Amino acid sequence: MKVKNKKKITNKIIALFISILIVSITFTISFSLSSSVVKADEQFGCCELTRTELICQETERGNCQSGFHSGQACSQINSCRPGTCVPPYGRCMPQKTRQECEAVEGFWTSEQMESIVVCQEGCCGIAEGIKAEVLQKKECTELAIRLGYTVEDIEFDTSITSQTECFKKYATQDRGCCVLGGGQCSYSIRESCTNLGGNFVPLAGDKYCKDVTACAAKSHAYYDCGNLPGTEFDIYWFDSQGSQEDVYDDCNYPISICTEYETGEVECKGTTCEVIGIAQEIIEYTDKNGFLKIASGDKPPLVKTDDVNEFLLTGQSTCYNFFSHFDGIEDNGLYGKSTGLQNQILHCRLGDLEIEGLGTDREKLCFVAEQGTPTQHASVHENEWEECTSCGSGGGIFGVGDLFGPFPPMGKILNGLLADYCEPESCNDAGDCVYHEDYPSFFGLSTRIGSCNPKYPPGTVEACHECGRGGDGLWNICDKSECASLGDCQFRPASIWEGMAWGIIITLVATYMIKINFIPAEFVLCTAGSIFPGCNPLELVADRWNRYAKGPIGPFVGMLSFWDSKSTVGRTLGIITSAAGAIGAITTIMGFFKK
Amino acid sequence: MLVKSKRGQVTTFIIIAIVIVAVALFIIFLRPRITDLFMSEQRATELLASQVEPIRDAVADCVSESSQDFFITTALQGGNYDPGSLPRIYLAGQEYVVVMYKDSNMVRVNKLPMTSSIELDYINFLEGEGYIKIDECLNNFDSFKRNVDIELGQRKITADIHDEIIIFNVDWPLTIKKQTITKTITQQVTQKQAQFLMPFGNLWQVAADIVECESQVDCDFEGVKIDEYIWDYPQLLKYISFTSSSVDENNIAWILESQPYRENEEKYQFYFGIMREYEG
Repeated sequence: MKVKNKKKITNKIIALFISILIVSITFTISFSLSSSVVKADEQFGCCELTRTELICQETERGNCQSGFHSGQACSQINSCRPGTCVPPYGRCMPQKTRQECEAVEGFWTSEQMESIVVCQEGCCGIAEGIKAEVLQKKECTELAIRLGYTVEDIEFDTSITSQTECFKKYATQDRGCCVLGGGQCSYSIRESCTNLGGNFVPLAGDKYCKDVTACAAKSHAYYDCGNLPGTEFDIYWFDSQGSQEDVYDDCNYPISICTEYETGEVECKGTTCEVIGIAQEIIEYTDKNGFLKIASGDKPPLVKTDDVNEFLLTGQSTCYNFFSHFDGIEDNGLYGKSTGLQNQILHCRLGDLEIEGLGTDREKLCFVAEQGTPTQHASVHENEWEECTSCGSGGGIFGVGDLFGPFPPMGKILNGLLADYCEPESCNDAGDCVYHEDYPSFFGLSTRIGSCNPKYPPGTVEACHECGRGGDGLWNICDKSECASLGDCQFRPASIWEGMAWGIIITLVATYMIKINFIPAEFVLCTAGSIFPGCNPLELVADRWNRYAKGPIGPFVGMLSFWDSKSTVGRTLGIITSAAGAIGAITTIMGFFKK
Repeated sequence: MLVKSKRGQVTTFIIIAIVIVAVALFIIFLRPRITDLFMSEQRATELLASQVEPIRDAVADCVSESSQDFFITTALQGGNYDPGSLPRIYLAGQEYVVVMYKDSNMVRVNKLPMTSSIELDYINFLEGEGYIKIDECLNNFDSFKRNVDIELGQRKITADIHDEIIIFNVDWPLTIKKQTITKTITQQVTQKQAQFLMPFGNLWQVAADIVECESQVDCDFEGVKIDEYIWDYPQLLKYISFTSSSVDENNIAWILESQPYRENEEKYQFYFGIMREYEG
């Protein structure tokens, strides 16, 4: 007895020890894991000065020379907060850190740039237009001083922020010839002549320094772009002393503009841009109610190629869009992808086209606004495609109604009662979506079979698995057209065996559903008594229940009854049938996702 | 006895011949120095004066040549000679240094350097490798030292970034000397400005305008905003072209390129990236 008791106590002690060991190991492991997470955080943060002399950078501790703030963003550190920097020379800059600003001996403030007077932009006119440019006020002052003028010689107009308008403002200033002595002359504005210490000789429209006796200039020595305010866009003659004379060529800006080339040539370069190319356009039909849809199938193209041939003026822009590889041209079974295609904006800049790519993810769309007008421009919109595939999902009782939808005569009604279905109207309302119709409604007695998909295919693959699914995915079949609309997806046609298997299943289920759909109609007619004389509605319902509900469900119920059996054989059969059912269910689910 | 006497005479002539050849060689190689030694003061002054412009030109050319890499590299890296740990966008095999992004606190940060910062960076570049490049280019004035003696003063070179050009202010006093028989003639050489035909200021200006818009909450430099910019600033954009490529809607790479319009001017690029959202 004593030995037994001793053994019991020993076992208890061992069990207690092992329990304590397990608990302490658990704590140790959890602490060490969490501490490694803490360490990772500690290694990254804001550095006031990096080893490469960069100021206020978010980086790792090892890269930091001084002032490391672990786990903090630089904007949380006082000396690294972004604000407006007013440097001693040059333009004000927004969102610069205090340290960067002070490193160049600038003045930093947390105020927005627009509210700081010296940082406001406007038309800067110096000496009544000897120089006219859109600058910040402080830049204007610095320029005036650099040119030898004073603050009093400055005129600053914040209402003008366009360079062209600024030039125009000072184009009509009093001009003449500034005689400097010794035969030297300069065609300029009165104010600048005073500063040069010369004698200003006012000149009428077609008179120049060559017409002034005291000037030894040779007229029409060369031509170049004008250098007086308001003349920069045209070509002028210059005399041998560099004084501007009469017009050589009026470029008639904005039609053309004076342009110099490295060869020394000067010409009026046209500012219009010719756009020639091939872009894409989405093909869309509308149903009889005016809602967008696309006829689904294997062949029909999602997009068509569109010849682009237009002229743009400077400051205008147009769209150059590419949505999908699937343009209806046979790809020899290669099933090409749309990866890399993007929408682009073409801007016309003084005769040259500038390209603005909107991204290969095709999250941004380009539409032309005010087409054909002088203010034509390409505008950017977000591609709202994310909600498309959820059209028709939910509603009713677990979406059961989708089973009945495509089958007349009660399909539409039953679907409406028991679930939700997607129509072109609701699809169009879901965003930038279009309805892909596989099969139309049967005289309004059934729902359509199809899907709601992105109208402009996004440049991702995250929606590819939605092919053949969606809100009404039960009867939707993935086809080439739907696949192409979902993104950079590649369509793989089903094998002949897969096709046959699905065909059999769909046929069986469709047959079953059609029969179910007729039951309410049969009940109504039976109740009316006119078609089926002697028909008892209750017997009809019981009969249909036995045939189409209890019948198919019966075997499953039967299988379950084996499990309840007390005998070994019964239980064994119950286990086998349940396992078979489970395997079948898992296989079905896996196949569903694989699809 | 007669043979011995003849041999002795020949030896004498050989010695005389060696001496004559040695003296001739001496004269040939040291003639310039001898001539210099007997050079008049006027001649020495003229010689020094004739060396001034070539020395100034050589210094200006070497300063310009040695500095070009700094500005070209800086322009390709969003205004940073050494971008360090600034974020990058990679697109089509090219790296773009991001100069506007959101930090981990979702605050927009403008990392485009001011032109005054770039000018300071240039001074650091000179201290680090620039002066070495200049000295290598000048080859220690060896070609001039054949004619004159050169004494180097303390040098200080700075850069001014203008719209159409970069001007280098070279403060490097040199003293060139020429020794004559009576005294040493000296001449001070003050350097002239050097220049680099790169419209860095204009390229930076366009970049700054883009970054200024993007760093505001409700401004994306795209679409009609670009059209308005082209319309408002034709003079600035006459010789600057730009292209933007979006990696996705939040990451944009910008390529600005100057179009040469002056003799000997080349094309230059200014690359930078914009990140509109925090990337972690």
